[in-house]
Amino acid sequence: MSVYFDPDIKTIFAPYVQPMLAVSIATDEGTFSLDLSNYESVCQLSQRIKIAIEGYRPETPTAHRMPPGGPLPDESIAMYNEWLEAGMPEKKDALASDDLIV
Amino acid sequence: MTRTKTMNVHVYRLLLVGLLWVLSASLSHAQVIRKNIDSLSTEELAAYQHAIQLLRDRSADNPYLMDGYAWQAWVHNKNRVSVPKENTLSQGDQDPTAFYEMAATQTYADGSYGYPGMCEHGKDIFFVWHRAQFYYFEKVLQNTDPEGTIVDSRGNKCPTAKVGVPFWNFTNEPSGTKFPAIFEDSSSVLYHAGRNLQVNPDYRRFTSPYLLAKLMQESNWSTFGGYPNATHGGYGTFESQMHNPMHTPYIGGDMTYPSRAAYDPIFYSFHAYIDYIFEAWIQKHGSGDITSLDYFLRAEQPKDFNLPGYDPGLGDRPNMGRAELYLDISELGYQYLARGKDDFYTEQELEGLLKDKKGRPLVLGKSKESPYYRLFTSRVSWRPETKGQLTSETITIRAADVANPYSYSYTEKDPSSSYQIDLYMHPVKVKPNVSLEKFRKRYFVGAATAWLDSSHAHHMMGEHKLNVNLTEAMNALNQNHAGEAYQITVNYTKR
Ligand SMILES: [Cu+2]
Repeated sequence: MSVYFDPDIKTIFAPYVQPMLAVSIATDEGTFSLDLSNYESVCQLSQRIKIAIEGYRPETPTAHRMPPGGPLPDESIAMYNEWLEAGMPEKKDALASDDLIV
Repeated sequence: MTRTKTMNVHVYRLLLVGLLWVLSASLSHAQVIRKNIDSLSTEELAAYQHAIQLLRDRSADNPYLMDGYAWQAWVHNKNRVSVPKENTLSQGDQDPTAFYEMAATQTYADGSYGYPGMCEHGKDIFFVWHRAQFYYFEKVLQNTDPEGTIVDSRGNKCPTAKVGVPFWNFTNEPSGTKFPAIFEDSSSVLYHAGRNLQVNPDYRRFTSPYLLAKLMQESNWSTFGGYPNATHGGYGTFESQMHNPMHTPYIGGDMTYPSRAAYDPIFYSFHAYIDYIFEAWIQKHGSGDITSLDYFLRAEQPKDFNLPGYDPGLGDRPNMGRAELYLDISELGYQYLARGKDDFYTEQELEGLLKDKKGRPLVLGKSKESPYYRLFTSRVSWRPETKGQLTSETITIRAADVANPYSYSYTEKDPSSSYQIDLYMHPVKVKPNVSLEKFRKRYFVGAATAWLDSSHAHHMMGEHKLNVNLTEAMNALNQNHAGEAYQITVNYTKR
């Protein structure tokens, strides 16, 4: 069964959309908003999101872990990684957007 | 005839353009001098206070002006602020800090969002982010009243064109009770209510100049300056061992919180000295190994002061350009005048410090006093905590170096406020007891503080990790105790 941004990843991130909009994310390409309900925005910062949500694991510690209050369930992190591996497909029948990977 | 005249005019024009160009070129490289705040002349101190007062006056009428005190403080304190189409707030007789905080938390249906900024902490762009923040802040100050023609709300005027942010060397004996005297003068605009002036008044100095000199010797950038943001981040030694404990518990008040720190004018002088330390580190070790220089620095600043090479990159949020723009301070228009007591202790002086009464070098685990205890406590009132929550872990003593480091990683489950950890390395047979001075003195290997805020909007984190690099201590123990089982004991105290 394939993982898609809509609805799978979007559902995982839904509770965190509003607080994240207040923050700017600094990268080596510029400073970005992160709209976790928006496909392009999540693709743009997909690697940073990976680091943050895996940050609770002892083998990949990070000073800024996400989400606040405790790690996502292992299944959700696994699903996110699977979605990355698959080339971040938006929804069923849409093309994988390799060109958006940063 | 006419032709000649025209040509002359033309030549004059060219000359004039040339002259203006030379002048503006030299202006853009005009240097202001950042001095120790205790050594400013009366005029220099008056000019600095006048500029700060004018910033406060601007914000009193409109807190959303980018070149006012409130916004400039928000560059450090606030990610996002709702900005009205037209401002209707005015300070009146409110306390300025309460007014700024109220203005920052309004929501305007007809407004738009501004993104003043977010200080970078716990990562390698800590130093350079604050340097960029200060570049704009200093330009704003200089341009408040360059010619000295504007009377501020205290009735003062004087030229601000040459204002440089004066620094507070917090490793020296303060000229006031705990801070430079001018910050304790309640009639000055630099005074700020709520600091820890009355708490432990005997604490006159907190973080040791010897510890600073020792940290400055570290040539590994990440160890000293912080770990890359793009991977996993983490404090460098300067930030966790000197910067953080100065914010809290030493200074206190608004400086306790990342989301309020810059409301207190002492913030600027405190961090100006930190920028001097950054500059001194670069002079000593070069900037070649500094990481994340291609990162963009978050903040919304007055566009007039963008540097010549400024480029905002691709994102949809404002920034101060790439970190690399801020490496050469002569391009930023300032330099430091530091003399005598503002110099760092030399390697020889450090070596001299780390000896016992008989002149033998202090040896970790063997001497009655650990060299780290000596470093952290010399000439200051800082001492390891005598109470707290202890946790111990068994470790095996081994060789350690940059390629094979040893660091202790502490996980804080409740990162809603600052905390400190004191670390001890001792033989398994020695029972850890931090209430005993003998134990603390002999086995202390370091302390670190995490500077955190309850405001989730500020840092948005779950648990917090505090890593302390103990490579040198591990290697020192390896000289006499290779392969032995030891314990590392951590004493945790909440701030
Ligand atoms: Cu600070």
